[in-house]
Amino acid sequence: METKLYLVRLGEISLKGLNRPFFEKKLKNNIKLKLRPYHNRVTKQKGRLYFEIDSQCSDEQCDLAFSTTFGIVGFAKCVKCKKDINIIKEKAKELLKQYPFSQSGTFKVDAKRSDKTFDLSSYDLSCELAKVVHQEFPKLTVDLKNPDNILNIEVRNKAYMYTKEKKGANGLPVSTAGKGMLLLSGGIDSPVAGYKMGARGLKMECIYFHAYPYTSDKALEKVKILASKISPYLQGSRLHVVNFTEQQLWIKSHCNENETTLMFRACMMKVATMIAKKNEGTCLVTGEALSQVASQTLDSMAFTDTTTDMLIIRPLVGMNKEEIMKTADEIDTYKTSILPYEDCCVIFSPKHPLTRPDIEIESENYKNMQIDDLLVKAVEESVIYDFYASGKEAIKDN
Amino acid sequence: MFKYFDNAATTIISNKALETYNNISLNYFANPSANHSLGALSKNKLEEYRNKIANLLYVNQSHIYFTSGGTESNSIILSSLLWTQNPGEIIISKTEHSSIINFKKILKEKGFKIIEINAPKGFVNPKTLEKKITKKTRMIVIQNVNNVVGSINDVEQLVKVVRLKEKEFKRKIYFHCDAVQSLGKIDLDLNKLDVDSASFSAHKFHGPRGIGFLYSKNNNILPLSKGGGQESGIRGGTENLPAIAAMYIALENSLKTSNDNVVDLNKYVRENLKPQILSPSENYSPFIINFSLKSFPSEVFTRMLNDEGFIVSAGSACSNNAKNMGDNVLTAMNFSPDVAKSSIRISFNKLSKMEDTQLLVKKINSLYDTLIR
Repeated sequence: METKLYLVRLGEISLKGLNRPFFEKKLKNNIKLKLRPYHNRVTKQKGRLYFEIDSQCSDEQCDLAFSTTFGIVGFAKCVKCKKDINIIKEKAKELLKQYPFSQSGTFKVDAKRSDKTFDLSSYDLSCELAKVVHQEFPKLTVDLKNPDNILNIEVRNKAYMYTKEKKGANGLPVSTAGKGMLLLSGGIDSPVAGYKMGARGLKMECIYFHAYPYTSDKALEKVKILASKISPYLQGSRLHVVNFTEQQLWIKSHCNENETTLMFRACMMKVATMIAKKNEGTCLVTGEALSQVASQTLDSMAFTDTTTDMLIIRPLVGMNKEEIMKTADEIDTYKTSILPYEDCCVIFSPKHPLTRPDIEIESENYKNMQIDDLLVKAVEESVIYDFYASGKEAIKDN
Repeated sequence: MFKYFDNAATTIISNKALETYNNISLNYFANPSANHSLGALSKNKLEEYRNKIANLLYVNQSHIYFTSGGTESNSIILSSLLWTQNPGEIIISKTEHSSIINFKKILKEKGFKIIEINAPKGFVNPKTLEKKITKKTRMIVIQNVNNVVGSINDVEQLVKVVRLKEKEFKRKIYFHCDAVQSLGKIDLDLNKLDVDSASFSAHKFHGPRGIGFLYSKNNNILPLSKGGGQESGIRGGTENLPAIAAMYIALENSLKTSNDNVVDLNKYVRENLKPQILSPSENYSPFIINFSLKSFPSEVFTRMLNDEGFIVSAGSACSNNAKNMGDNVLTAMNFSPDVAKSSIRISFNKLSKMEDTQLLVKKINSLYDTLIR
């Protein structure tokens, strides 16, 4: 079987102590999940994973697997050879033919030598390889600070060389930090919140509240696209669609107009908590940012916190909208999020929503709505869509 | 089975038009511009249909240019202006179709001054127009029937105002009229209206999509798509002969079918519908009737009706900031934004049934009672 070799640089995991194998194993499995069905063999070295992958697996699939898996700082297609300087130089020539440098500009050879028994020092090794580069690209000059091209070499059990390193998603591997429920609205923030918590190792399922016909089925389609887009980062995900029309109408007719949004949020938290408990989740993740809208003031969030016994995590709470939009753009959810299908119909949005609710009064008003049975019903009637780690939607068995 | 009340958007193609389309496609398939005998046959057929359509409208056949429909016809006229050396002023009513409205930006960039004219309840007042015309006015664009509420502008009077101004200023002022919602629906006499150009689209009167025509007395207009000199150089590209033939058949049939049924349907709706009617009570096309739901989002109401088997059109989306077709038009007619956002359009064709209309009104009234009142 012909294979191609990828070098994967690990980030924060390398700082771990005795539990490092646990994180490394998770990371390895998370990557392997995305390389399916192609055969691959993994070897582990300090701060590195090497993936020998069936060359039938496309470069795109490999890139997606490495770039969307949390725990990776960078990755590159590389070549390996014996630790013999002559063989290394020959291999370097081959590599430069395969991935040529620019004809003009600057370069650098970055040599790392963890095998201290190797004959040449890092500096000498760099100089030897620089000669090779100079032969192949005579117009390039050396720049050690901001080179246009880099030839990397790492001398470990073997010599590994690569030129173009791509950025990884950093963070810690998903499923190393428990499981939560992401409240996915269809807006810009919640996919980013999911991404942020995925980067801290949290496994998540998504929950969306749909109020047809008050919100259109296009809004649901949009949320499904968002779920599929963040699914590679979450190592696959499940989307629970809660049909919430009856409940929203009930809320609208059983509370004061200015507190409808608060009550919606309270009910959503209750439903999300029930779904979390059914699915072994122990926290809720939302895309709230302080004072972004009326329901996200300090007092409103404090009230929301009283509606569930679960930890509510708000990874965006201190972020500016620009920062959130930038991340959304980076993970390619922004363009979908801004499609004009509203996640909540205007008739459910009060003109002057309460921004400084009194927890005691609102808790009492919530109880008086007597909506709990309807919320249980919403959970029971929720519909599930599954997304693979590749982002594809799983076809349902009927 | 859906009951269809969105005929101002498009109508179903008639069987006769479809048959004609098939026949001409199979029997006159050669390119009318080709030099061979089959090409000549197609060319003859093309001119025959141009003549027939001109005859139906009592106009000169050299003033008929086949296009892909209303949007293209409007675009040819407006884009013609882009080439003029000395931009002047253009008067455009605020209630025009988006194919006109969306030209304002580029015309402005080319140095034209756009003078917008209000249309309270959908009508441009000839006196208001008169005040807006200056020595620099080059063109006036005012629609005949408004596609959102169905108001009929008194184009004849409006053009008269323009012609008097022409005499006063001793220069030509063009009057372009989007008449897409008129042809085959209400009385339309192009000679009497005396417009310089007008746009038409076949799929609004049971013809095929992608075909229509521009009526223009002015042969100095410039093409939007250049090509092999077809349509006197106004519209390059191989002529869509089967669609042109089908359009003629559909038009002929529409013109000879009476409106009485639609008038009855409109009257029934006006007498029995509970929500507030936005369409004017005089000088309206019976084919279009628009009503408002007191700020209940029209998009949601449309979905509810859709689920009950009724197809109508929403004037706007379920959003505070959506920029949809109804909004600007309705606010330009002096309706409040709340009313504009909750507007729904019912539009008939000549075959729409009274029993379906009664069911629709009943459904709208019952939803209105439970949701809104």
